[in-house]
Amino acid sequence: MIELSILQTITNGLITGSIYFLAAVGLTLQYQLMKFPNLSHAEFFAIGAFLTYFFADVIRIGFWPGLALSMLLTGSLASGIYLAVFRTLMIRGASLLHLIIASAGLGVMLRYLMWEIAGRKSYFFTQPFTPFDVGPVRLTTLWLAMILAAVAAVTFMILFLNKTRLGKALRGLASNPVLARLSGIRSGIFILLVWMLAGMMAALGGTLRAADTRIIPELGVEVLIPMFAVSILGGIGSVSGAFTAAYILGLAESFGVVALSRLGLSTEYKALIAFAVLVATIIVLPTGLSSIISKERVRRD
Amino acid sequence: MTVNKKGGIKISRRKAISSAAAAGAVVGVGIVAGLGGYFAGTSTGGRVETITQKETVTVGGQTVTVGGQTVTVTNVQTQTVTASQLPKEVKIGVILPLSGELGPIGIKMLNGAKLAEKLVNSWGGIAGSTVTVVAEDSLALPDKALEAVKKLVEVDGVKVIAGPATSVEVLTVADYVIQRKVPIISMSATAAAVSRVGGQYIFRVVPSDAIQTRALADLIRSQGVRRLATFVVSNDYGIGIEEGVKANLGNIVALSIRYDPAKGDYREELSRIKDANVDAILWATWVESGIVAMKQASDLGLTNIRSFGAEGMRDTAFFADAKAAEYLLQTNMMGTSPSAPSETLSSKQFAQDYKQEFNEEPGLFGDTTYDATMVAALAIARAGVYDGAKIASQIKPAAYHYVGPSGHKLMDQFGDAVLATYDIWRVVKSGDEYKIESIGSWDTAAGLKLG
Amino acid sequence: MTNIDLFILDGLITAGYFAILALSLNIEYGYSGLIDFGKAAFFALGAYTSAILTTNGFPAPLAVLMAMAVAGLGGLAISIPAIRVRSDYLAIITLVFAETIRVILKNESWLAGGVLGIRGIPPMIDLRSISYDTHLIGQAVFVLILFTIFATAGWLLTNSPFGRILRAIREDELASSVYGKNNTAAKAVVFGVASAMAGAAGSFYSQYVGFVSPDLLILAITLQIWIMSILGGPATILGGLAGALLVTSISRGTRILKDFLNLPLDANNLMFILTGALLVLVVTFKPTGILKEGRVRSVRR
Repeated sequence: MIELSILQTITNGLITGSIYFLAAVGLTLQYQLMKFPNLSHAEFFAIGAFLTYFFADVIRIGFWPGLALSMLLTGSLASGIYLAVFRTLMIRGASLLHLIIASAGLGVMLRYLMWEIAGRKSYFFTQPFTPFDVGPVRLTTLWLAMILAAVAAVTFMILFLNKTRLGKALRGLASNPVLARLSGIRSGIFILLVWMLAGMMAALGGTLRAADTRIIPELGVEVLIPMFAVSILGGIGSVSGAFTAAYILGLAESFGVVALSRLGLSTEYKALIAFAVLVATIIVLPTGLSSIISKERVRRD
Repeated sequence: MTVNKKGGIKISRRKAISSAAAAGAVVGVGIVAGLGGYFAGTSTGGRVETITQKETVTVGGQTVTVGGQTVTVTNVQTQTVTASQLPKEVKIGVILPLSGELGPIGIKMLNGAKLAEKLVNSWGGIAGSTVTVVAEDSLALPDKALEAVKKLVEVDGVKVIAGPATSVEVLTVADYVIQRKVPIISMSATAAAVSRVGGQYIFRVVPSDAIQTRALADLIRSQGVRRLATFVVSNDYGIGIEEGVKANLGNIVALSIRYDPAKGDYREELSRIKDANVDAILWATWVESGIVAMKQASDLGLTNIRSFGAEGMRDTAFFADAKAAEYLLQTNMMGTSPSAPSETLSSKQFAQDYKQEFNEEPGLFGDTTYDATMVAALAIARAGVYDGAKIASQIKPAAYHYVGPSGHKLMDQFGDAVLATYDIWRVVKSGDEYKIESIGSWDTAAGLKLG
Repeated sequence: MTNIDLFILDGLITAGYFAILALSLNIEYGYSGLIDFGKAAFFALGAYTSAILTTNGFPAPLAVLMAMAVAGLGGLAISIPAIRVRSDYLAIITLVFAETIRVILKNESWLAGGVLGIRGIPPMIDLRSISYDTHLIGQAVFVLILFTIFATAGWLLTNSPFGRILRAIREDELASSVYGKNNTAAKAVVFGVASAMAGAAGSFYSQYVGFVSPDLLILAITLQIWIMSILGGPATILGGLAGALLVTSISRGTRILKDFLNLPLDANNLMFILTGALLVLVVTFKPTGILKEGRVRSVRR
């Protein structure tokens, strides 16, 4: 029987959960605002990583400055894509399916453009991250950064949504668009803002993930299902819900691998854990955790 | 060897003949080319001659007794070798993954085929006909491989193909190529299951993994390993290695990890390995995901656990990332690969030619792709006509006489490379550079020989 | 000597089988409004069932019937959790279902060949002993007959009173249930029937190509079927055929064209970029597809 270092397993789950949160927070806001699952959100994960690589290792301005620039650029790109593609579609009265399909098609286009531009070799960040021990737990500066980034992101988002006028207006728009417009909120700007934020978070998560693994066009697709699992489990549109759900999923996967190998099953089944969470949530608690944990329930059809 | 300004190769005749294995190919192709050229040359105004071979056969001896003497009547047979019936341009198809996850590896493998094409043409082609390599991308997916094969056969009229690269693809296209009588020579499909369809139209220049896993097992045991973890990519290659090693090592395998290359993060799986307290990890991964896993293994502190690897791990591409390279060095990565010991003249010549042509080290299976293409060319030369069935019948004879950079390609009745010689290799560092050096060999007869 | 006509014929036969698949999707989505992202799963269930039976000596008609039964039952089973949820969740559940089956087939090699799949499936119309050309022509006639049978069945289904119920559900679920129609039962029947059709397509396709492997279940295949459905016209019977022909032409065409045009892009990347772009464009500018819906005119989407 292989022993289990519980603390390390928990830490691994927290690290994974942080990445899932960064990937999902933008998605969950978008999903609630736009009312359709944007399958191309995953691509901004990879685009963000590539852009950081470009600034950090090709132009050589350093990893963290590169990351900041990439976040701005990816956010703008996301807003731009909204204007060019999805706003056009919505103006023309596109149905739910059409939006999903368009987002899938867009995702494929972006991904294979990335393959075309950068697909002949593999890319790795040169920025070094050093490992260190905290008692029995092994960490690296990068893994710590991931957890810190997630905490910073959730803090920022919650403060923004609850304490600033901009944020409150956004929440109003998301929960009741008709009323919001009646009270004079100009929805266009806000929608752009949400896409911008989504893009920025994705770039942050993508860059950190790529630093831990590698920079590849499929970077986002790798976390596509977990991204949706987290959004739905957390309750679409709820940042705190997504935060909770992300760590639940991360820990489930981490302990899941242990269970799988103890049971003698292939560890490739780890992927099914996110699936199971997703399906279970849809059937048992379709409004997500946020309908239980937070008094502030955002309305959903 | 002279190099012209653009970095191309001009091989002087003496240099070519003097290097042993290139000589094997050169002599083979050269003889037939010479003969063919001699006979074919209408444009050069050459003569057509017939060779007669005399064979003596006794046919129902007629016995005549003349003064006590016995006389037997013999029969004389003649054979005629006529002018080359090959088309002016002889095509050799190549099916490889040229895009997607395995794209970078496949592109480098294709270079092996292109090198063969270039060299054969520089020696006068096949009986004066130019060799053209026609490549198709299969993305390592079975249905795309089938589409690629059909395109090569129906649209390009190709009669012999090097590839596909993975065992699933070979099994998928098998029925079609047998039906259409187009031989295929795979350069890297190592699953044991391929032997079941091989021998008539399906061949390979690599031995089955059923044998490699024996070599790996011997190596691992010889190093005193008592607890082993396997870390493999979840496809025909990785799972084949895992199952083969389990069959050979039994209880020594304490933990088996399979990962999906589409899921990029392995920290959780590697933590399991850390908990398992093993002496060594056996790796069977593709380069990209392998590098990621090694970086994370290094971060997790697995550097005091030894590493072993199947042939997929023997690739300088792993050194692209400093942390992965250092991990390989620290864990004393050792492994097997189905090639002749890397110190042969043939493999050195190949590495040299490759470097001059493409300005980089040959990648994984570059040598076997080169060999598959060469064997195809030799089989065409032996057949004398560009006909699939005839070429198929000449592949084993051609391979019998061919010693390439990956070894002597003798094939058994299943079309498998039977002289399973595995090179035992290790990662070392000399100065600032990481290298892979050969430290021994393993073959079916003599077993493991180190040092 | 080239036989480009044989390559084209092979392409047409493949398109024929995918046309049947697209038709089954049209019945689900075009006529009933169900978003099924797991079409490949039922295709593969049918293909695998049929492959296991025929390679073990069972007669072809039995294999086809069992394929339809297994796939149809799978469809009914999936409809139990999936039908009651909203459309986008249905899409996600079906997607997850297909992925689950794929991972299981890959890892449990005792089940059906594992990663290597099953090869050597005997053709149901076997004229190979005469010549390859004749064999292809025989298979082409076969798929044509099959498509005609399924198209007729589909037409009868969608123009029957049951078909009117389906269209009613598609347009307005609430109204339809108010009028006393049992929505859930109708949807379950549609799922079962369409899945059985996909299973049959899988069975016949597997006998044509001679192999099955877990790669039949990748998301790309499902997306391809969706593209065919959308392009051709989701609420039509022949739309699937039009879409299948178009998509197959693009996919095989790029393979041939690359030899003649010096494409600046890698042919495979180009094909995906084109397909993605085409998808976005069609959904934006011509959402009903190339062919129009017959008889009952749909509300402009």
